[in-house]
Amino acid sequence: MNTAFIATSIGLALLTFFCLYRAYAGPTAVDRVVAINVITTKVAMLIALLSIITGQEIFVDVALIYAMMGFIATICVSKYIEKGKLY
Amino acid sequence: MSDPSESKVKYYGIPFVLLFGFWLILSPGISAQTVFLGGAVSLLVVIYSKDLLFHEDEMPLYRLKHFLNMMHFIGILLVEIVKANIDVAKIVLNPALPIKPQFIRVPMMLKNDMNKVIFGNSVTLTPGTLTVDIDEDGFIIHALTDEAAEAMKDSFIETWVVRQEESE
Amino acid sequence: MIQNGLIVILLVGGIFFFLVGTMGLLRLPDAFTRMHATTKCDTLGAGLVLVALIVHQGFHMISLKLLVILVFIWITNPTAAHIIAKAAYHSQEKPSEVKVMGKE
Repeated sequence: MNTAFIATSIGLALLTFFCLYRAYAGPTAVDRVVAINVITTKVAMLIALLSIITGQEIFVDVALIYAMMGFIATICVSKYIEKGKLY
Repeated sequence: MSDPSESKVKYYGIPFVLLFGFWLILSPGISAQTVFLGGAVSLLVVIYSKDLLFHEDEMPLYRLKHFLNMMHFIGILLVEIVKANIDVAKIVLNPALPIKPQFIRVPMMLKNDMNKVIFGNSVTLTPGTLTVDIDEDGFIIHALTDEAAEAMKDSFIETWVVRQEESE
Repeated sequence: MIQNGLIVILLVGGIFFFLVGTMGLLRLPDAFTRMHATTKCDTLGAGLVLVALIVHQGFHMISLKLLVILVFIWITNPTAAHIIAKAAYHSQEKPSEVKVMGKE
């Protein structure tokens, strides 16, 4: 079963690089935020998969916190784009 | 509005139970120490942030009937979400990219903020539509195709959320 | 055996929807249409992968944590998309005419 999980992880890692192209190319700031949001979800999934593959239960908590941090980061950058300040 | 003491229990009780449950899920094992510490911390957080909590009027999910109703709705929504994804997959994988992006406006029919949130998030997850802005007059929705824009007329989400708001 | 088959189907579905989301991100012409592809497909893809992991773990403490991640992602992903779309809508010029849909 581990083989399937490892294959999924490799696929996700490759897709993350393609998303990184959109974050690099832009052309507007909003496109970059969308790309970063997508990358965050993918990386959280990668961490969850990794915790099952390696049997390190503690990584699941890391995935949860990573997803939360990504959400906060998205909100902050969007607010900054919209208003020019964070509050 | 029912008995005020009962609404007080809901006002403080439900956030406490949610926080305590989250603590128990994250804690490594259940022992006297973790339960006591988690209870104390949850209680402190609830008391310290009591201005931020939801009243029963603001939060329809605090009523059991509405909560069960919501669970039923989520069941229907899951099927719609899978269909939405297959639709998007067809559009994206089509070499011709058959899209016609446009903004549409749906007039405001809800008063409760939580119901607005449920409506907006459900619209975002269903085929070809994305909630862009919510103001007093209505929802501004971005539609990917003409069919998606037409589907916003009398959508099942609207019917359901309006029914939820009217059932007191 | 059935469990393994189910896990493989869920994983393949998850990676397929992630692939569609990424292709949409790269192919579609502007920020709003890109958001269409990414929110829907990433939400369902993440859901399928997490359900596959939950099926693999069975009834266990980790499954509960994975379920928390699942619920969290399903609530926050559309919300984040809404916030980004609002920022994009207000930072560009307003469209001149907006069609009105819904109950009259």
